[in-house]
Amino acid sequence: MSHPRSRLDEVIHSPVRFSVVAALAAADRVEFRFVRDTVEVSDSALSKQVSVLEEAGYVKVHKTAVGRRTRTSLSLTREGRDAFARHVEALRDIAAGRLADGAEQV
Amino acid sequence: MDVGREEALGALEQAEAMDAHTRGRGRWYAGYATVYAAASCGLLLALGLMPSPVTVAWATPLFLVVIAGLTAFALSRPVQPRGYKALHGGMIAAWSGIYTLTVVVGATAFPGEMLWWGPGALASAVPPLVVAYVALRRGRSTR
Repeated sequence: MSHPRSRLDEVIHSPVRFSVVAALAAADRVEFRFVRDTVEVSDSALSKQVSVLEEAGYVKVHKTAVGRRTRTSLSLTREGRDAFARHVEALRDIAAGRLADGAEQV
Repeated sequence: MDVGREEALGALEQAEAMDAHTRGRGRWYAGYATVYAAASCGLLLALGLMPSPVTVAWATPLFLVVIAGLTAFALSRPVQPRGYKALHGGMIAAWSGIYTLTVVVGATAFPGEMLWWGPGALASAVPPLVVAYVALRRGRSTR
C-alpha cells in the first residue's frame, strides 16, 4: 500500500506555486497582475515561480501588446491541469486518511 | 514530501479560496452577455417595427458602438472565465442564426409586423441570456 503523499507533485507542492496553479485552474486565462495580487507576492517572486511552472510545462505565458504596454497573462496547460488535479486528489486522500488503494489509515 | 493531514487540509482550503476568488472575477461575462441580449432585442425591434433606410442608418451603427464597447470591456477584464471561447463562440453562432432568420424572413414577409419582430427580438436574446446564466453558475466555486 503506497501513501498518497507519493502522488504529490513536487513542482506544484511549493505554497506559492500551489496558489498560482489553483488560481489559474479556475479560469482559461488570468492576467499576471491579478495573480500577483491574489497570491500576494511581488512581481519578481511571481515571475520566478511562473518560470519554474513554465519549465515544467504546466503554465503558458501570453504577452499581448495593448497600446504602448505589454499585457502579460497566464494559463494552465493540459499537463498543468492534469498535474493539479492529481495533486489535489492526493491532498484529499491525505486529508481523509486514505491510502492509495482506498484503504483507511489506521 | 512529508505532508500531514493538517497541512493537506490547509492546502485544500487555500486552493478553494483561490478558486473562488478567480471564478468570481470571471462573472463579468454574465453582464456582457446581458447587455448583448438587450442590444440585440433593441436592434431587431427598431429594424422590424420602423422599416426604413433611416432606421438602418442609425440603429446598425448604434448597435456596433455597443458591441465595440463590450469588446473593449471584455479585453480589459483580468480573468477569462473557464470555457469562455466555446461559450462565446456558441453564443455568437446561435445568435447569428436567429438574427439572420428574423431579418431575412421578416424583411420580406412581415415588415412592421409586431407578431414577427417581437418574438424574433426575444428569440435573439435567448443565446446571450443562456450564456449569461451559465457564466453566473460557473462563477460560483465548485470545490
